[in-house]
Amino acid sequence: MIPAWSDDMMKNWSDAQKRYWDAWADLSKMGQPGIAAQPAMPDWTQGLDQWWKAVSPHTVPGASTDAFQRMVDMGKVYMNLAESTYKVRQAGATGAEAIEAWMNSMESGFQSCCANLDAGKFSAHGFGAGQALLDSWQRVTKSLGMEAFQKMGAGGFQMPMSQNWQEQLDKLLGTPAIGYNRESQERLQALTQLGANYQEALDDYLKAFAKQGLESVNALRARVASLREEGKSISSLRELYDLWVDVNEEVYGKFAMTDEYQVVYGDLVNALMAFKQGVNAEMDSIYEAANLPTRKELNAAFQKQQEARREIRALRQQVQELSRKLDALSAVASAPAAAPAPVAEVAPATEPVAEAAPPAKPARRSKKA
Amino acid sequence: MPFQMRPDAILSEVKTFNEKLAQGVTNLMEVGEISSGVTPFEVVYTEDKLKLLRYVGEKEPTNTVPMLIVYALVNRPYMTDIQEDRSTVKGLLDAGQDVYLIDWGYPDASDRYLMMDDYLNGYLDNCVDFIRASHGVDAINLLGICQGGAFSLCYSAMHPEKVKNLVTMVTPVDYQTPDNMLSHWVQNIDIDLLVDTTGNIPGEMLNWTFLNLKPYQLMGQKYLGMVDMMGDAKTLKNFMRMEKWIFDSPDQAGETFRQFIKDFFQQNKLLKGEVQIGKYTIDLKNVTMPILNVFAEQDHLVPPDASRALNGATGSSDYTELSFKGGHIGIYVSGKAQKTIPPAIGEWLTKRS
Repeated sequence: MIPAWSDDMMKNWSDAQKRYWDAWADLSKMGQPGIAAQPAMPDWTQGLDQWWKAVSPHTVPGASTDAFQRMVDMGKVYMNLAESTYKVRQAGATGAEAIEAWMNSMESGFQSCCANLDAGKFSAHGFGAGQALLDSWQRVTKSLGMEAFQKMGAGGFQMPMSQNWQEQLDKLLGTPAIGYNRESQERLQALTQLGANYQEALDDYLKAFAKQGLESVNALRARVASLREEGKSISSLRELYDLWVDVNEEVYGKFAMTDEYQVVYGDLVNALMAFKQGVNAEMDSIYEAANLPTRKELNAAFQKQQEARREIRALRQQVQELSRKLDALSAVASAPAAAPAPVAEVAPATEPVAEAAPPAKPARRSKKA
Repeated sequence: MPFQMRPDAILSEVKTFNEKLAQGVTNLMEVGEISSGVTPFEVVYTEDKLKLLRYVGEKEPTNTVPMLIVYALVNRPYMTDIQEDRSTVKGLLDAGQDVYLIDWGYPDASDRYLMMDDYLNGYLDNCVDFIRASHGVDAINLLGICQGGAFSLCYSAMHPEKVKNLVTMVTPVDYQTPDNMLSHWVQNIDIDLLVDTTGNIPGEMLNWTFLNLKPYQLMGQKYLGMVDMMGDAKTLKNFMRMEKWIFDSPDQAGETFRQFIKDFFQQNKLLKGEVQIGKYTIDLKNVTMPILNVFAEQDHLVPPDASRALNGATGSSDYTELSFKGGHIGIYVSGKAQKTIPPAIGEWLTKRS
């Protein structure tokens, strides 16, 4: 059920919508006498972001809002494309120069994404799939209870943002374990190493996508050149965006079947699992100390439960088989003394192992379930 | 010049986009609850989290041999009955079939030790026995979908006497065709480490994997396309219904996942006749009943060649292929599929029942 709206919610909602409509209505007046032209540096992406922040608290959480959030995210990417091309065209550049400027900007975005990952930082680059894939991956880590490690690079380990965070981490891991807490320190160092391995695997995965993004820019250049030779043109932003998606899927499709991708993909999953297993072990030791049931103990109980289910299933089948044989024997015993049928010729089993006994001939109802 | 847009044309496109978006969010608020599963049914049998559904058609079935749909453990079976005018189940009922479907439910931590043997020789076999007894028949028709198709093949090899006819839909048989992305990726994953660590496999992990198949389309282009259609409330609701299904991903029982990925994807044992389920070694030559193999030519999850590999692999002397020009999901939900696939399956089954 969708909850009823309060007056305040309704007012906030309609105010936000009105402001948004007004903003776009102003845009449509552009070119009319007395109306200022759009600035050379439009901020449509930011406008969309602000609007969504205003209206999204009033939407109902669930599949719809999730989908809409994804749509707004892609809308921002689209607005970013519009801004880039508009700015260049406003500055008097030709269409060819505008598209080249956009491709150059993407190229440098992917390059800086790679460079930042090398320095232990993550920078999203809207036109690659990296950010969306990363969001999706973070849902995976969240479902495993690993939200604390969602931040990239130094942030993931709550370390000061520095260019040499890996170096600092290595120093920490290299500290010899001594004294009363030696075992605990060794365990934590091992766990931190697993975390660092995961970080490295995630960086490699994202770098692979950034590299694929660079290849896609080159492939797009080739596609644009070929369009030019064929005398074809791109006449809308949407066509440009769709072309970019086509080129990316083509480049990605080949990349995804390479050994390189198989390795970064598998390493990412394996590294997260090794890290998670280490975290699980630490959690178990904490639970054990608090006299709480551990994951290991629960698993043992679940395993026994499953074995019991199997035994029950087998026993039910045996009981039914015996029951059938008993019925057959009773039938033989109560039959006239003529020619008794041997037990071995009894009809095959048709009785189901069911919690709900089947009707002899199932009745069909027409009411909606 | 390939790029012909003038600044005012860019402005106009931006304006149109944002107007559609603002209107769309209003429609979104009015979408209301998104129902799933439209055809009436009765729950005729339950066991643990499993429910066996029997669908009720508008007319009595003409085929006296009932059919059981075995859906995959991945995602939810209401895909086959997603909306009024997009329902494989309804199409099969209209084609005179008596349709049952297994809803496996959502496994929780207590189900992590469920093995393929439990699913096939336990749950599935119990459902088949229930239907056989209910109808007083020795064998029923099975229709397996995707992973459920692989399950149905294994079941038919173990219990051929209980399966009158077998229909496989978008079912992988050869898991290592050169174009199989999922298989390629999974080769470097330590499945034992994965299952030992997580127990059940989170549905979110499967979502991420499937989105990786076509990330730019599935995480980007699709949502921009949505902006164009959301002015129409009905179309928007249908989009949301699909969206709900796509992300409605049950966790996977750990031990079953372990065996399925290792034996089928990593070692391709089904074709080699090496899959071991309980006391049975799966030999596809034991699958002797008539087979209808339905696959999609643009399937990005189960490449057509992965399904075509069934030809010649079984002991059946009555093997038919039906290819559909569409994708893995389109074969159930596209308008074209509604008109062709269920009637064709119905006709094929009725001839042989």
